[in-house]
Amino acid sequence: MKHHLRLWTALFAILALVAASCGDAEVAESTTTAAAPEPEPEPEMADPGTPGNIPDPGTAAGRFDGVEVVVAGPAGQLDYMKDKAAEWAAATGATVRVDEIPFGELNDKVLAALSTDTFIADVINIGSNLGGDLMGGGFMAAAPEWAQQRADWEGILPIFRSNQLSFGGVAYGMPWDGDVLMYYWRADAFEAHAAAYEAATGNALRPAESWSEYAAIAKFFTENDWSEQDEGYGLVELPMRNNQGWNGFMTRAAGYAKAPNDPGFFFDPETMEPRINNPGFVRALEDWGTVIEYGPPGMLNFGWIENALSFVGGLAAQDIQWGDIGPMSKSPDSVVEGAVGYGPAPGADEYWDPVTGEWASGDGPNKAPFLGFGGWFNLVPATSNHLAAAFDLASFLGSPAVLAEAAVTAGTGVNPGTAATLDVDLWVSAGWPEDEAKAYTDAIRASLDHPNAVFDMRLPGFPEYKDALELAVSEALSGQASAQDALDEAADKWNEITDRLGRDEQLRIYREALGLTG
Amino acid sequence: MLALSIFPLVFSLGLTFTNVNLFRRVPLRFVGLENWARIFSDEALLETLVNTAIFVGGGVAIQYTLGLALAVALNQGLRGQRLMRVLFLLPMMVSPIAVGFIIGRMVFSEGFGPINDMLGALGLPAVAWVTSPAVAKWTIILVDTWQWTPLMMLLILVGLQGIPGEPMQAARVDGASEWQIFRHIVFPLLLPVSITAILIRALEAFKIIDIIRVVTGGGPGRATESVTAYVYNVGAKQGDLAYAASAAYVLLFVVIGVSFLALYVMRRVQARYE
Repeated sequence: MKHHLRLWTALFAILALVAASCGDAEVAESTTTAAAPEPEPEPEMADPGTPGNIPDPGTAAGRFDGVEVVVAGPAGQLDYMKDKAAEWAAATGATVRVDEIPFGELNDKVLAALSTDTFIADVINIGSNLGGDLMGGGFMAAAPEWAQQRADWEGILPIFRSNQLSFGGVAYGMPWDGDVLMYYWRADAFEAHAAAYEAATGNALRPAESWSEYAAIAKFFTENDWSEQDEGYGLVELPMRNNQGWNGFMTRAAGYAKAPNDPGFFFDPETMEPRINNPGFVRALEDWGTVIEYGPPGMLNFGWIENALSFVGGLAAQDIQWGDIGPMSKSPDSVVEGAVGYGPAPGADEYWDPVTGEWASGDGPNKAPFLGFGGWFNLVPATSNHLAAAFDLASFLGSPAVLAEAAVTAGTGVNPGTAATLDVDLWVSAGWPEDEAKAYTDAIRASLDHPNAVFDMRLPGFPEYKDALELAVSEALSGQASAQDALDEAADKWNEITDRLGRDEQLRIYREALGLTG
Repeated sequence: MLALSIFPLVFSLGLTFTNVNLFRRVPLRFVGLENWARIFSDEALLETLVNTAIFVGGGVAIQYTLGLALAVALNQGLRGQRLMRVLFLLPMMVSPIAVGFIIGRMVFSEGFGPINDMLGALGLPAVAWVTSPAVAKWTIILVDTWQWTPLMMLLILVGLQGIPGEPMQAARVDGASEWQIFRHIVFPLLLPVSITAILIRALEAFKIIDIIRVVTGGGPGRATESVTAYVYNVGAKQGDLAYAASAAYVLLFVVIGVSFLALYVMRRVQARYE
């Protein structure tokens, strides 16, 4: 509120000056400064980055009698969390209010509220992309040791511990969801058409290890009648602007442009120069443009739901998607139950090495699983009035028992990312055949444990970087610009954004996000 | 009046001279005309202005033509016209978001939509309704037309029903054809209502965003992004409220300019008939 007051007062002062002077900028600025109120002290907040300064509330029943904890998160996928929060409330004496915010507005509302010191919630369920803004921006309270222990910190896969839940080496978040884009194929169709594929191409039909194999398989299945549906296509992906186009492109580009010997991907970690227009990204986009025709008609306009429904509806032989496809293949509307193969996203036959400035290759395709979106997780704003209760609730929600149940329950939005959720027995107990449960969890683990895995961008200004890139990708895929021209334009835009937000500060945050020091 | 209308306008004008960003904790600073200067080098804004002009020009022209034709047909005293009126008004009662999904994403779906199915049954090739930059613009116009033609029809129908019958009867006695009666009597008498209807619809169409967000997300590329969608992206998604306010003012100036121009042209046309 204090921030608001300052804003309004200053705006009125500016307006008065604009009206009165009709614009001598120098005079107006100095006068505005004089008219503006004295800076107010920052509101009290927990010391971000100093774990342990929130006392352990213990585990006694009724320990939060009379306390109301507010949770904010994406509308439509908080029902399970509400049930669990109610259990926690009954045990602690607290009450929990869950505010659902439309998915498309969640990031904007959270950032706007925190930037203006406006209370929004004690616990925020948010996507990892906002980590740079929220944790790097100093808005969040560091997670105390006792909360980390209750969430079984060591049971969380390292890539999430260090990338999703922490920033600059400090733990802030409590676990909820683990996300990685994977490769799915119709195992039944692959088996049924193996001979025909070999006869047509001279190669054995196997799940694609490389994007070139993936393209050949897509071409074959698009040109041959294989689906029990009226139509069958070779692939389905996520190219739509403003609707997962970023994740669709980065999943492919990672194999072409993430060198195993270099931690950077989006930017040069020494200069903050964008890499998105280097030959690796450009070839990724060019190659993507050649396979779009093997998808269902109108695929350029496909987002998450169109992609998922096309695959579980039996229209596509291959799919690039998050882990949701596994549980969705078991849903009543699915026609692919028991017929799905699971694996990490394919790699590129060659990758661009930004250090040598040349194409390079290894023993096999260069794989770089992309942790697009990076998963939902829970954060506690430093300005929360009930820090202990908030962390108590967040650590309960992130506990192994709750996450295990959530992972195998449809509609929770929770994908595996912890030891408890990747336990084969858990999936078998949920009704999965053991071999399929093993294939599914192995594929996720192979992606998440991959040494060349790329975690999604966690920089302030992410929405702007994403918008510029998605625009370029969309222009190239729809034939409005060449891949090189489109990505050059996007790189210029990225530089403009970086300069506007402060290159040195962005570089510092990018390096911190990569775990680089100095 | 001051609180509801003028104050927000003045407040947002004030924003355009600042560096306010929703997502960054930066000290509020007076930046003079910096945001306004940025407009002149903003190719994206120009592109979205052109898109918006196409949506308004194309959409309103089609909606007026169809609305006029439907209103004339419904004014003939045919059987069942009350039911027809209700049916024609239904699209207007549906939320634009729902219309976007039902018409834009389902009916015009390139793979699974009934329109491409029908074209296929007729031996015609499928149309890239939402993935071709040129066609996608017209898809937006068609969806908008489906929803808002009833408003045109309604306003023109009211106008038609207010036209006195005597001049038309006199013309018929003098041997005028129905087309001549429409061309020289009905249409001129409808001009005030037509001007109003076109202006109301155009003012609304300038602000189009909801259908676009659902049907194409502004793509492919920026082919269907309107100024309002652009302002929303810059302000709400990127937090740059100050520049978003400046871009919104550009749209306001354009709308005011177009409104004056339209009124001027229409009055000239009306004067010719009078």
